Amino acid sequence: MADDVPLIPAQAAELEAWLRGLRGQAPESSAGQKAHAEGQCLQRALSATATAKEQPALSPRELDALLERAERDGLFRASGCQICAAWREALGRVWQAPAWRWGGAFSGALALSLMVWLGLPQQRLLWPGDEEAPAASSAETRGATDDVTRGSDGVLQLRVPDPQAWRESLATDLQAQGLQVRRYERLGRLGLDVELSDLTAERQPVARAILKRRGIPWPTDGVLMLELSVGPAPSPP
Amino acid sequence: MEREVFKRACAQGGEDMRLAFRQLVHDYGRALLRECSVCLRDPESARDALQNALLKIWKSCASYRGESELFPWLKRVARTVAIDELRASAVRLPSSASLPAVDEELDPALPDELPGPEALTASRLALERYRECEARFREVEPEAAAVIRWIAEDELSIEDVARLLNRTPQATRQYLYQCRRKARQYLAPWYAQVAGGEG
Repeated sequence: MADDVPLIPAQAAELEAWLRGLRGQAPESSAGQKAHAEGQCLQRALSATATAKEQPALSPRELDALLERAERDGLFRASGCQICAAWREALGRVWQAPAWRWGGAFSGALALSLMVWLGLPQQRLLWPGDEEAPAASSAETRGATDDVTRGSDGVLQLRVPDPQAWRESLATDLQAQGLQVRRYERLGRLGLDVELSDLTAERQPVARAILKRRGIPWPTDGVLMLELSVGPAPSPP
Repeated sequence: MEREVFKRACAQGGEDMRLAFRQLVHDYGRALLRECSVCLRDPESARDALQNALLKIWKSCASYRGESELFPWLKRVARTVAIDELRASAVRLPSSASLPAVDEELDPALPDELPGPEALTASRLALERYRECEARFREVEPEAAAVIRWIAEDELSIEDVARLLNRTPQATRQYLYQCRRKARQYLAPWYAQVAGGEG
């Protein structure tokens, strides 16, 4: 009988009854009782003679050889983006998690947004429009600019050992040039805003020198926004 | 091994997968070897099939989506590998070549009144008779014998068997119909013995 020839209905019914008996299921109808009994007998015999013999699993030597073979096949090559996989998995778990866990996910997203807003992770500072601070041309600013970064919100971030004293020193120097300095504190960090465009032409070189001395680049838009956090002393200019 | 551990190792690869590979052999090695042994009676062939099955499990681990339990999925892979090995070995060296061919027309009628299933296996003699008949059946028709055992053990549906054998459901019905005929033929002496009250 060829494989592609369908069974006639009587054969199909008999097969179904036999399979139900073989699976240990009750007959569906009184038809095919004999086939069902035959399957049931076979099922009982198979279960009575099921091999309970404990077979040894792979020996350590066999397993090592198999692992070597797998290694040769490139099976243990780390996937291209393990961090991505971990993130995908974590996000997948959150997606499937009960509703209360959404709170955690929301907090995480909020914290991430806050970090971006505050300028973390920070970018290495580049000064595309700042003619005063070419990276390698000025020995005076080189060391200090390495410690200055610009957050995504445009605020310069500087790490100094004593932010309070450092800010006061800078503010005093700038105020001496007739500039309005606004001091503030945001999330534990001391900040300072100054409108440099208010400077008169003759005072501008002095103000530039004040910033340069501290490794702060001249802002192209004329507004200095600076935040300070505790950190090692900037490299001496 | 938990399915999450398996999925994670599969996604990570590298050392994670190597460790999980060892763990999987520790947890399921014996059970999977048994699955291979149902189909391949020769212990060496079964062990080879187990090794191939383990490699296939990890090569195709991404296709396990974690919606069902892990062990049935592992078992299905091992069974597929064992059947493939069986078919390949049958092509290389037909094991039944020296055995008398089964008479396709022979479809022995079973006794009209089969005793209850308990009676068929109750006595040691009946069980011995069954073992002899089944051994012969497995020797000559290993694939049919294995498929019948898997259906009985795991209550496989026709669709399950079709997936396992890589056949259409219609072809699988036809195949199972033939399996039943073969089983009746090889087990007929056992049925006759118990129906005649010899057991």
